[in-house]
Amino acid sequence: MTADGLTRGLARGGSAMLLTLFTAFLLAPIIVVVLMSFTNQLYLTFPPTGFATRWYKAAWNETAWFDASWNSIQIGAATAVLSMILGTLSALAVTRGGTRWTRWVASLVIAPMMLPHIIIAIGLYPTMLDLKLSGTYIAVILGHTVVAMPLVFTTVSAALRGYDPALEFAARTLGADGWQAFRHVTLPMIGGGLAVGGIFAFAVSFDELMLALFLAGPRTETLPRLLWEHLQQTITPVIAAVATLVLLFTLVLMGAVLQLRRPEAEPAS
Amino acid sequence: MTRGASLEFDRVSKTYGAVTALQPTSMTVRPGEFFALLGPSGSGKSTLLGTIAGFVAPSGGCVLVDGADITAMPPHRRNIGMVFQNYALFPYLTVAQNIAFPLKMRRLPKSEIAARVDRALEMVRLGGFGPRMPAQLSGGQQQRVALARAAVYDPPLLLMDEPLGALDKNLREEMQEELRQFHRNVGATILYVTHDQQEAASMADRIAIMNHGKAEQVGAPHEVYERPGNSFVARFLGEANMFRLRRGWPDGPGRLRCETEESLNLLACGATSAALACVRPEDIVIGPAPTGRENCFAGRVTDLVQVAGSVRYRVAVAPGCTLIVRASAERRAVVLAKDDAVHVGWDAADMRFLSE
Repeated sequence: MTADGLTRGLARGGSAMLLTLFTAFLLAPIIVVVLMSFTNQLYLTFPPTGFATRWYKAAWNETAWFDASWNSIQIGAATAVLSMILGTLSALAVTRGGTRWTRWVASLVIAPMMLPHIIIAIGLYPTMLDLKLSGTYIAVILGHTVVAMPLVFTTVSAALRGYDPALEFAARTLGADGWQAFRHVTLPMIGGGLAVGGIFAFAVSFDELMLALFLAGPRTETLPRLLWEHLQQTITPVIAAVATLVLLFTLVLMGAVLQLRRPEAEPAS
Repeated sequence: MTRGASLEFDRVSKTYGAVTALQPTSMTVRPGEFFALLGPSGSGKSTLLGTIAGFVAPSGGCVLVDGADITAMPPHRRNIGMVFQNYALFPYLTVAQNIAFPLKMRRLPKSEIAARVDRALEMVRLGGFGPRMPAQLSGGQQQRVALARAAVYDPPLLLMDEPLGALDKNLREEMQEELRQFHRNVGATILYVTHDQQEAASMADRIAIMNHGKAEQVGAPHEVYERPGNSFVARFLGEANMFRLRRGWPDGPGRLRCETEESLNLLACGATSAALACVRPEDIVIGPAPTGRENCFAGRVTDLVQVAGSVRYRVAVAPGCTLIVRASAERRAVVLAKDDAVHVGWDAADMRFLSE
């Protein structure tokens, strides 16, 4: 075997191993949940012993799931909007602003992405209590924005670096004031990145548990929080059914992101 | 046709912390003039341009357009047109929408916008290209769209920041011709930034040679070429044979005899000597026999290159002193070869004294 062939063999072996690991750790739990949701038993079992949709019907008949889903969607949407505004502003400050503090600001903005959520939760919990905001939508939205904003910051920063800042200068010389230059040039140029960041922010909020546990209340019960509570009290296959629906929703979001990320069809020159 | 604006820099300077990008600079551009800022990168020419466009806030001094101080005016209210090196066309808008942008910002009625866009497209010979996207156009066509966009609102002053820098050589020469034509048509004052001396010399009415954040010399291209004020200008604008002088003494009326570092004896016109003297390669005659000029030296051809219409020789005349000589093709009756013994010469009137 030549050295080149050896490398290729190793690469192929590596790819196979990666695929196996990916399947084992990422795909397997998803498959298990989906299969469990269609069980005809009264408790979570694997492998399935029969096929039934009764647990979907059970979930459908329980209004608590709808309330929680609606809460999660509202909180997710508000988080996305707030993250898009703050993330875009900080991305503009870092990529287009002065040079001295930008690296520190960038690190500071991204930090919550790497910080354990439990630490943010412990910090925010007493603060929200003090502000008498504990258990309100505002508390959950603010908490989620802390962890979701870095995603918008990242995608928008990449979009801003992807084009010549002369475009904005050009708009200014052509008679656009600062806001018009942003609206007519910056926004169209970063639109894709902003939308992707917004979807990411929504997704982060939609499946965030830790902060919701600390900051949400009975009236602001989110879907992951309700799932968590069910998991602790009654382990019925309803959980699997709801989890499967959440998975489906997440796949739709992922599809939207892929669609947005698709490079524009190049016009023939 | 627009009336060109006058432009005046009054001790404009720019420092970034401890770095001086622009030393206090004063100069005046006349209405309707095609004025080039010529210099190497980092010479301050783009900083100077930025102070007019409004992207660079001067550390001192002021910029006046038609006598009005615009130093503190925001860019969008200056009514100045600008053409960028990489065109800066909005990629998500069609050619027509790009040209309509400044008119939309000025809230002109739709019908007038359409009419003016069409006229602008005709002016840059891109009639019918309106619905295309910028990415579908060639570099030269994109630059013409940028030109139309910057001129469609008839600004009295147009700034051009290396507008031909991204084009290949042939297209660049074609566009130079087109820009000159454009300037004659619109009548606006044009301030043109470039590092290409040939480009500046062939297009501009006057040139400012920039170096180390200051204007070394301002004048018509032939003036600056024929009477460079210092060694940087002489070297930057074409080639120059430079002599470092040790001393000089009068030799006849209006004549100075000088001794160079290589102990060559030179005769020049003038009253007082300077640190340096230069002679342009095309002012030197070369041949196998003594040239009979006031400065005459024997030497040996060390190298020759044929360039379009002329031959460029290197002739060693003394240890450590090699002259560049450019002989036009018609003078090349006698063909010289490498290692030939030759005579070179030039008149005292062709010598220029320079400061460092």
